[in-house]
This record gives sequence, C-alpha cells and structure tokens, in this order.
Amino acid sequence: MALKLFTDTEVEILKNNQYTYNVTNKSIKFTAEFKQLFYNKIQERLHTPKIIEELGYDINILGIKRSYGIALHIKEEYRVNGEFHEGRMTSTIEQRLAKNEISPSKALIQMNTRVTYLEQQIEYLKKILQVDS
Amino acid sequence: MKKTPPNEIFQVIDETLLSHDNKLSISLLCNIAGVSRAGYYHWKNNEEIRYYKEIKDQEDFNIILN
Repeated sequence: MALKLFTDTEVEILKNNQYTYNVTNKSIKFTAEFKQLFYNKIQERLHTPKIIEELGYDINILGIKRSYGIALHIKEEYRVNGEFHEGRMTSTIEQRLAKNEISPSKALIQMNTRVTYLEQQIEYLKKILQVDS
Repeated sequence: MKKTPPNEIFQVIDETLLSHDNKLSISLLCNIAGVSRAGYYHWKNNEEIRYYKEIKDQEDFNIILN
C-alpha cells in the first residue's frame, strides 16, 4: 500500500480513466490493456512519469513513488507470468502447487534423515528396555 | 517390581545424546523413558559433585578401616 491516499474527488477522477480496473481510497488496480501498453513503453525506454501522463493519469494524483511502484509491479508480473491479468497479479493454481513440490534429491535427503531418526529411536528403545527390565 | 534407578536411565539418555549424528531430542528421550527433563538436567549438572562425593566417601572409608 502506498502512503499517499486518494481523496474522494481523486477517486472519481481516476475512475473516469478507461484503464482503471478498480480504485479505492487506498489502492488502484489497472486493466490488462494498461499493463501491456505500459510494458511496451518501458521497452521503448520512456520515463515512468511520462508514460503515466501519456496514458491519461495525473502524476500528482498517483504520486511519483507509486508510479515507480506500478512500473516495478508490471515488470514483475511479466517476468513471472509472461502475460498480464486484469487487476491484481495472482498466481495460478499450477504455480501455487509448484511452490509446494520438492525436488527428488531433496526428497531423498529428507527420507534419509527420517530413516536415521527412526533407527536411532529404535536403538534407544532397546537400550531403555534393557535397563528397565 | 523393583523400580529402575533413574541414574541408569539418565546414563542411557546421555550416551544416546553423545552418540555420532544424533537426531533425537532430549525431551523425546526423557518422554520415552518416563523421566522428567528437569531431572535429567539436574543429574547432568551434578555430575562433578557426585564424583567428588564418591572420592570423599572412599577417603572416609579408608580412615575408618585404618
């Protein structure tokens, strides 16, 4: 969340822009089209504030810092997904599942550790039973 | 049934902990053996005192014999 909050009149102004997907007092979300255009203009090496102005937003309403944040988010979304979605960047189900998967080599280490643990536990139980009897 | 002196149990726990590549925790070992963790630490911290007491007993014993 950016530190700069939008006033109600600013929210109305932002709402009127065709590239706005959703806007509240605290945050603004953009359409996929906006992100694509923005990304293309980044590739043309245009300055971020200039891109914002070109796409019909007032840099004073959004705030300088937020505009650079928008640029970062758009680049990140392209890096991760290779395409743009409406509104917030969300990871797909496949991506979320891939995060939880572990590589076979890692799984082997985990299993080895588990076996050692269980072996040691059995060894200890034997010793304790010997002492106890 | 005669109860096992906790001394011996603590001894086994200590050996297990000092063994190579040990992965078992103190709390688990104490739990399985049915002794308290505090008891184990108490026994562990008093090792030196026990040793000196043993020596002192031996000396006293010798004095009595002579």
